[in-house]
Amino acid sequence: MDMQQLRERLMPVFLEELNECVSDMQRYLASLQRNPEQSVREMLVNELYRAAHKIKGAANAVELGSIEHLCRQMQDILMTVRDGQRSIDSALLAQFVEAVRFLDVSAAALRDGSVPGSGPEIFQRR
Amino acid sequence: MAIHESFRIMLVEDSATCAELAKCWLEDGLGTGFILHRAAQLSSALELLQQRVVDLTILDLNLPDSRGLDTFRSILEQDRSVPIVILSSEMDEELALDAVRLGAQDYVVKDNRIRNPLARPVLFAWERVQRYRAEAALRENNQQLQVARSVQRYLLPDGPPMLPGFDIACRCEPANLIGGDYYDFIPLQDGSLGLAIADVSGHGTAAALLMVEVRATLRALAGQGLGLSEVMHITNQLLTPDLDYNFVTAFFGVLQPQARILRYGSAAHPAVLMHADGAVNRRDSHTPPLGVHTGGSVISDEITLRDADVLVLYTDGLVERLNARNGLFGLNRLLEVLIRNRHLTAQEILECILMAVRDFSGGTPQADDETLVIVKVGSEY
Repeated sequence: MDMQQLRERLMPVFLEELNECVSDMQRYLASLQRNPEQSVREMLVNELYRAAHKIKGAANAVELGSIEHLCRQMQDILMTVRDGQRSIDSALLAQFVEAVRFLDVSAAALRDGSVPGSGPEIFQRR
Repeated sequence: MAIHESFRIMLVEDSATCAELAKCWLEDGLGTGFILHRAAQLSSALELLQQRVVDLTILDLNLPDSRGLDTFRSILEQDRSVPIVILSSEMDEELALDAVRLGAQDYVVKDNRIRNPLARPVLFAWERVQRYRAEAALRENNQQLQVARSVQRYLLPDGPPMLPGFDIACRCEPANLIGGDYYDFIPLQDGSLGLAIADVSGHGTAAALLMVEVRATLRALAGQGLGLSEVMHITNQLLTPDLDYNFVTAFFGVLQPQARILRYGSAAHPAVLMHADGAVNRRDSHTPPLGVHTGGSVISDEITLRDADVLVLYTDGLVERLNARNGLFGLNRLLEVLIRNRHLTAQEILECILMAVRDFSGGTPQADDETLVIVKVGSEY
């Protein structure tokens, strides 16, 4: 099985997984925007981390560098939040919303058979 | 390379895409001859391990319900006999190395740019699984063998009985893969001696258990004053329903020492009587073995023994011993040795025959039990 065949076989699975994770992330972010109590925030951050981690690995499998790169950034930031080195404020939440929107747009492009654009430098503005 | 289809791999991976990638790697590198169970979280993986349907675990350490080395430890503790290959992201390579230090067999990085990293560790695990299975089978066989050996040791007499006017010797040489040979001396109330020799088809524990049944039946019936035909007939009726595809060849005789009369019944089990002048009196039996069908008849006969007569009871393992060229030792060679040595004591005759069998075989492995009973008649004993 060459790389092209492998990618063709993986792509439908990836798209389904990406959609699922994007919906989950949107839900988690909406909950975080409602400023819940600390234990719920921690749980939501953790779930966001897991979803970013999942898509990062899956994007690597289908060689989508832009998605992989963006999810790696999300994961790195969420790790610092999880470890208490950084708090998740409204500015950061807005960046995450933008990042998830990019994932959603990329998924739509992939479903249409086009290549998603290169990832926005959302997290480098800090 | 095709792997035997009984190789069961559990892939613990929460990402459907990464699971599909691992599946592609496995199919590409190993063919389709394996069973793949996927678990998307730790709890399902532990259940699968509990069901003992896993020969190899391919494990992503970060799962919805467990993270990092805790995942590895839980899987390892559930079943330490199942090798684990860690499926790691590039970021978690250090963690994967820690898992290897704690006992994981290997780790591979989930990276599409690496061409099939799973093939080598999975093949290695397959070799290991095959070795474990072979060792387990060997242990099982050895246990069976020990049981069969104990049963046989318990069943066989410690040595020949003292019977005035007769010189008796006996020996059973068990094969590595214990067969179902049995011989017995049963003292009867009227002073006569029951002589039994039997060969149960098959090997191992099953044959040993059948020997127990044959022995118990013969011993119980022999003491009840029944005629020989009746003893053999009832034994056959009792054994047949239990034997399925097995059968038992048996010779059962009652030796009256004073009158020097041997009455015997035989079910497909031959015997040889040699007179002092070297004349051979073969006592072949053309009746079916015990256990074939309940209605079978058993030959019975009576012999008046004379001075220096030698009665030879043996099992087929002895005469069917092969040499390196697949030649049979055969009854004729046994008779030749017997003729040459008939003037010796029962024990000496027995040793001569067994030595002749060993010399003939030239060290080829013994495939079946070899049992020999010599009864020599003589006023000097």
